Amino acid sequence: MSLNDDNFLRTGRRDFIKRASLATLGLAIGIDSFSKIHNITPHNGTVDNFEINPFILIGLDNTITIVNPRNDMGQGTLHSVPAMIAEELEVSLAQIKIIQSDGQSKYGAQTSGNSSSIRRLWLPLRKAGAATKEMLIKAAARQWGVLESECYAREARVFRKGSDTSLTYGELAGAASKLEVPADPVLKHPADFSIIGKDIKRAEIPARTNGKAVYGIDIEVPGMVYASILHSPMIFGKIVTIEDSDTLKIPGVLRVIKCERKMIHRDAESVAVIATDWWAALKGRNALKVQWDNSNLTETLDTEDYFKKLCKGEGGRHQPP
Amino acid sequence: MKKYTIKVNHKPYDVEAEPDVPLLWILRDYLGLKGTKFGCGIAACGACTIHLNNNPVRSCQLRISTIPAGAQITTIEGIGADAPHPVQEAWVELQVPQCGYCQSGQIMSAVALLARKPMPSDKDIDAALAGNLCRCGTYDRIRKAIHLAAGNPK
Repeated sequence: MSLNDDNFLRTGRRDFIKRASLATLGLAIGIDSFSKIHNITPHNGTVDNFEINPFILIGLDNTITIVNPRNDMGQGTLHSVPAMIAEELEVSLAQIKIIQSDGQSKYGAQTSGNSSSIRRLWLPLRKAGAATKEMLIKAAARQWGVLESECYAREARVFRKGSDTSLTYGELAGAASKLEVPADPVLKHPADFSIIGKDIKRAEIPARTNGKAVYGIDIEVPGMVYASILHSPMIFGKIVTIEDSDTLKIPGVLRVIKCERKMIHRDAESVAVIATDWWAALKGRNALKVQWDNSNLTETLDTEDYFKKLCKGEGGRHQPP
Repeated sequence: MKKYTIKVNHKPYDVEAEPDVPLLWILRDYLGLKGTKFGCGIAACGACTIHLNNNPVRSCQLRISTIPAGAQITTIEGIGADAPHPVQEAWVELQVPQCGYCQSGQIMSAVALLARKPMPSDKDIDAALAGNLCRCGTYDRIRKAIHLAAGNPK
């Protein structure tokens, strides 16, 4: 699996879980309140992969995996967030695999919103990359018996200045993982950026052109069933009666459930039709006869009436001056 | 439940389904071909566009029982299966998608357009893809990418 493998969106997560469970040796750096980096978990064991911090996995074969902890809804975080780590880690985007975080708490909050992904992760993730790079450099310097200032990192390798000698991150990851995590790593000057701010093609684009990118609606889990939910045609309507005999006759329909959703001001009621497949659930929903009580509303807004108004160019639409 | 045999991307599939199940759900839930997307279910957005005998159609409106025997169905998985199609290459070159959810449908419409009209004008493109909506608003890049795939000097 490589960055250019358009299948990585599909297989990345599963592969990551497998790899992460193998990663029993290494040093994890966690991001606490998105402000400081600290050492959380020293492990011991044998592995093919070092989790030097939760966002960076370095394989003995020098495969570098970077975890994106933000949802990508088209704003490009699957590229921009890992880019902040890669920049400071001194790896090119062509050398890394990008995978999506899987909800574990070690990745911190994993939602996107408020245009906050870059703003909130800008320093913490760059520090995570820079700290990891400094640990790899220190490991190389020790191995060569030279000062750290005699070494530098480029393209997932540590080089010894003034010589052709170099070691890959994969070769150094084991030793690096035993080192203390630098609390205040030196960040690159923006003038030296080679990834951030540069026009680089997004690795996941091919998967978005051949049907292989996996979206929420594409997820299947064993024994999964589907639901389609009937809402009140008027906001906060209450259910009086549910007539579901026609629904339950539809092949594939399993159950009809009355749902209540706690909302800030009032509770919303709805009816969910559970079925073996989505089409059966939808058909079942359309066959429901539900009587709604909307008497508690102070103002009336009816979906069908509103739609008719919109079709006539009335209601809600701003008229050009 | 009835038995149907359909040919998708040159491969025959035996399907047992109710006659009114739209092809979209046959592809996604019965055959596991998830590249074709559900957007609106009422032929208003184009996310579910596939080819039926090389013509772009909305699979959410095509019931399994109405598919002509021997019809060739092509989905996004059948476009560039061996090597990327010029349309897909242009899409990557110009970084067309943002979230990408509508792009299977966009590409199916674009491929059908170029098969019918190898050197389309802006007007041809706008007309052929008018039924494919994109909430990210990638229309400008889509148009450019179709010209690029066509080899139009522009």
